Amino acid sequence: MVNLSSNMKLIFDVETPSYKQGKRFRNTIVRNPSVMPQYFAIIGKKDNPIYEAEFTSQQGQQGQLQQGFQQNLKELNAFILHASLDIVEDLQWQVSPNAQHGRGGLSGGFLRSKNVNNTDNCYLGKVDHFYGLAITAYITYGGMKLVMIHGGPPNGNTQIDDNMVKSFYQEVHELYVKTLMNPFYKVNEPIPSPAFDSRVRALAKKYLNR
Amino acid sequence: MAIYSFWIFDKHCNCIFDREWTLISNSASGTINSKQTEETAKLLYGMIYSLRSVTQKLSRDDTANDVRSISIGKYRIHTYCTASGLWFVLLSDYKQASYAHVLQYIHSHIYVKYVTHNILSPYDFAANENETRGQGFRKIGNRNFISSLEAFLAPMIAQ
Amino acid sequence: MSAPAQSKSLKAIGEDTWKNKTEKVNAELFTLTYGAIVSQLCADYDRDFQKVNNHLFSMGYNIGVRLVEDFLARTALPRCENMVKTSEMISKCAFKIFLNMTPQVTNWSSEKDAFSLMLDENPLSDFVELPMDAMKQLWYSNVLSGVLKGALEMVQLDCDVWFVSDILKGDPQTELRIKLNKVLKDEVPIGED
Repeated sequence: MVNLSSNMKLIFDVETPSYKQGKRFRNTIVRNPSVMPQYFAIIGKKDNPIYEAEFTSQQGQQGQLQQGFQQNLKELNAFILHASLDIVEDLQWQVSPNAQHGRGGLSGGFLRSKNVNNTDNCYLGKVDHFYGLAITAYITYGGMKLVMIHGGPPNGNTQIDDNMVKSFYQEVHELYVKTLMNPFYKVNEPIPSPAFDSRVRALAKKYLNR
Repeated sequence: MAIYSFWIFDKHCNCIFDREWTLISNSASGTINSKQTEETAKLLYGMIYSLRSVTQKLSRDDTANDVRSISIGKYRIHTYCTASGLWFVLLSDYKQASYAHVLQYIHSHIYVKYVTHNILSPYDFAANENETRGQGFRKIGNRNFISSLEAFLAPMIAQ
Repeated sequence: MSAPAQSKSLKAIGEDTWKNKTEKVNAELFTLTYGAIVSQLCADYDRDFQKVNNHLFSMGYNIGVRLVEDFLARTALPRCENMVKTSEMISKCAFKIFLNMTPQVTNWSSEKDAFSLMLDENPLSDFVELPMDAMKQLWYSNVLSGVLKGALEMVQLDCDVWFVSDILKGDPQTELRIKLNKVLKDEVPIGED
């Protein structure tokens, strides 16, 4: 069993190597959102992941790649994501709070999110959190769940820029639809294409790690 | 204007369809693909073929010449030949000078629609080597083709 | 002088027929239908891509022998005198009418009996990515070679048609080569020759 407090310490250590250089980093990290890593996955209808990717920003301090998540925690990423799937599914089939009476009791409230209040309702916003990591989700019309863990500054909760994250999800959704158009791709299969991978990473750079 | 008969020849020198009208007053009279017309078909083919080959040799420059109509005694033979070797032949009286548009319509809207686009109908009516060069006997039996052809030509049978 | 004037009118015939005399179908439906055919063939033949290629070719042949009749019915064009005219008719009229694209004619052989069509856009293969094992062997749009072979055979031109390169395989462009073997003679009734 992993000792959580020791994990918090470990997060401190890895995400702040410049501490050892004696630089005043604290404010830098809070103001510089590009240090935030993300772990993104597309989950199929049978809860099988068909695509996973970790996005980090390459800070390149001393030529070192900033590791997004600490090594121990990395293994938990998949578990964290899957744990949040229950909440996502709840939201997916949640009855709309605005259901009109007299139109048949349960009006099949598809994709009503508590957090986001707009007409295109695929984006569910922040659905869950895990010790300071935020998890956002997006459901496609075919029932594929796009979920992402946002790692953040170790002090306090992660701030999520809803608009940027939503745009990211929408563009990944478009890429996913294009993948579906490929006749050699069967639904619910893993996405092997390196072109898809590189495009998703480019989108991540564009929207998530400014 | 009166139409006496309508023939289709394919590129294997076979007559694959013929329709003769015997009574001007009755558009339902006459024969379809009957055996008695086979001799006539061969003679008709021979005449058109000879005249066509002569006209092609007579053509100047590079433009290909082709027979459009042959006027004989009491009737006129109108021909429409496609690049794929299909001949649509119409025998009529002298009232109308050209039936090219009629024959073109039959080709594009009736033949192509009911014979060519019909996957279950053969596009080549000679099943083997022995049925080429004028020795074939298969005809278009497609009911849709025949009924739409009748519907199209019936008003023109008599006037 | 007459050649450019005629080729312009071929282009005009192609565009006019495309605009006015053809029924249109949704392009994505067409692409997805063809994609379904190819992927099902690959599954049916157990990934033996040579057989898939041959099957696509024979499917195309059956389409081509009928399609040429449709083409002649729409355009009422006469037979071409030489391969140059044939190539123009194929690229400016036929491809325009049926696929709304005009491939470029290039790479003429020295005797003017073989040429290449460069397809810069291929509606059959939109959104397609070949899996690794297919990339080496499968000619995805092989139905097009069959169509051209069948169509040319019906106008008495015995040709070989094959794909030289394909963007889906990683080549820089899609090239389709057509080579005339011989001009078939029109049949003469027995007794006349």
